[in-house]
Amino acid sequence: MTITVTVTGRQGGNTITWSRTATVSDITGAVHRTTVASNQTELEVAVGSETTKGGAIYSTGLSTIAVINNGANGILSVQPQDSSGTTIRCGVIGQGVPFFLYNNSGAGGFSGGFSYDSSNGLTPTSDIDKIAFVQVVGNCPYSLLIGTKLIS
Amino acid sequence: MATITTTVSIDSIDGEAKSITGTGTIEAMSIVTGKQTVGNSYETFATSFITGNMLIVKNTSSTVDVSLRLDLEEFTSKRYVSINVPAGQIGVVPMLWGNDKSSGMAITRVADIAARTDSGTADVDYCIIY
Repeated sequence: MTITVTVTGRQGGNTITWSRTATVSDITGAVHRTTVASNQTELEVAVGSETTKGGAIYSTGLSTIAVINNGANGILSVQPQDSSGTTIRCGVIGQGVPFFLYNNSGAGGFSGGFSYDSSNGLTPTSDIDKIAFVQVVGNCPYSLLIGTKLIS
Repeated sequence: MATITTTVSIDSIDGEAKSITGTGTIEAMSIVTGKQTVGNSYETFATSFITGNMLIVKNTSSTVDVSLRLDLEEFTSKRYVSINVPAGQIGVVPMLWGNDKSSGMAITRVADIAARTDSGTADVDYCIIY
């Protein structure tokens, strides 16, 4: 899975361009849809489902969520939930803006994709089980691409 | 004005490539780019972000995750959100956040951002759109 984000603008008569590309390895499945957010559109991500590869049975888990608000004037909120149904505070994105969330194996240190708490010492320990997309203002067509990978 | 262009693709899942793209124009007075080395305790990240519209980062470490801690102190009760930007990945932090999914959503601004690793250090490239 490859993600590229490029920002361009003019400042003081000069054009500024900042562009970065990232690769998520070992993606084995995808959820792809382009739709319009309603008052509350909720997608259940297939965590814990099983697939076969090379004769063995593996569990698949959500790895990466990429969403882009394609609405011309709409404002979209992206609301991840953990397995208990708890919604963390949700990101609010305008037209053309992307948002990325990652579940995590802990290989790089943290065991989850996100957390929210009243404690300022929190670190990402929860993984995303569901995600909802809700229109805040206007019409919000959005594009979603979820990468899943084998986790066991 | 700043223009943000995004492409996300997955190649060859059952012989079929899938991708999404988007382009948006954001009101902006300036764009600030830089790099910050993040250690294993929370320290303020990109100090000048407080008045920004959006923060985009790339964790350039190949082995160490970075937690971005967002301070949403304008809610009635103080709340923090921690987002994992795994090693080698890109994260986007919008300035506005909502409190939950129910109707009557309260929206607040990110008051501050701090970053840390679990252990070791990671260099993080950032782009702030004001």
